[in-house]
Amino acid sequence: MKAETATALRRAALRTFEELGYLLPTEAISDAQRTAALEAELSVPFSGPVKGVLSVRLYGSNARPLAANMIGSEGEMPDDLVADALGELANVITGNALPEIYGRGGFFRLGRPCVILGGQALPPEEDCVEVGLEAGRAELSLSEDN
Amino acid sequence: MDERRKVDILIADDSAVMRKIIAKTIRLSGLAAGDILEAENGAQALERLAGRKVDLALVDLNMPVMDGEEFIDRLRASADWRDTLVIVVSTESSDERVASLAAKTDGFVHKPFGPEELRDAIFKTLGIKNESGNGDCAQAGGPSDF
Repeated sequence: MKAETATALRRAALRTFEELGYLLPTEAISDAQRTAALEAELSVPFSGPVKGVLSVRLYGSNARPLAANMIGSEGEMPDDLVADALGELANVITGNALPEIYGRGGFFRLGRPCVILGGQALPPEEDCVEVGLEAGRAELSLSEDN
Repeated sequence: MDERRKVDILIADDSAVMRKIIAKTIRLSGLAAGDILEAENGAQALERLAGRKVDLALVDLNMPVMDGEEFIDRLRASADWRDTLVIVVSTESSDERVASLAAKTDGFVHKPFGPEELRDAIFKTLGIKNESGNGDCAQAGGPSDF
């Protein structure tokens, strides 16, 4: 991954998790955060000057706190609302990262976010950006269609 | 507008969580809000408006079925709704598209936004003086929500 792409992904993620999710994300990852289990996988397809997918994997136990923080709820969050919240987070990260990566001249259309809740055993993402979250971490990657 | 009259508002966003965030920000802003209608896409927004008007529409751009820009174009083409005030709430960062939208809308709030930013845009668009004066605004989300 190009350094500029990594910087844009990290900046968009830090800002979105903080301003929309009311968490305090960090660039540093602790050992406990690194070994946390996969919790959810989010992906946002996009088209425009470049076509591809931005993916976010959440590790640990951040999904429900993020969703609850977003709407200021202290009660139980149903899965569909948690998925909606995570999808919106991924959407906002994507919408903010793409112009930083590809320039502000192009018009990108974002597809509906796909959210998979639950930890599946996935191979580690090799070319990704990591952001520390309070109870785990997020991995972000970008793939372009050829 | 007459500051004593209640303000009817439409929120069009495909994320239920984002609609909740916006509605909560409005309710906590001190604005004399009347009806707050919600729609998950432009087509549903038009259905919500059937036979009635709202003072302000807060519209996302990326929505399935009918996107926000087409919805705004339909509003502007309608004799009944063309005077509706419209604030776009989106991740859109394309300079060209933002400029194009500015010509047919009344405000733009970039996601992610803080509650104060959204409140200020709403008050400015409605031409209502901000009574809180120093920019204080209740936080719509977050664990310390009230």
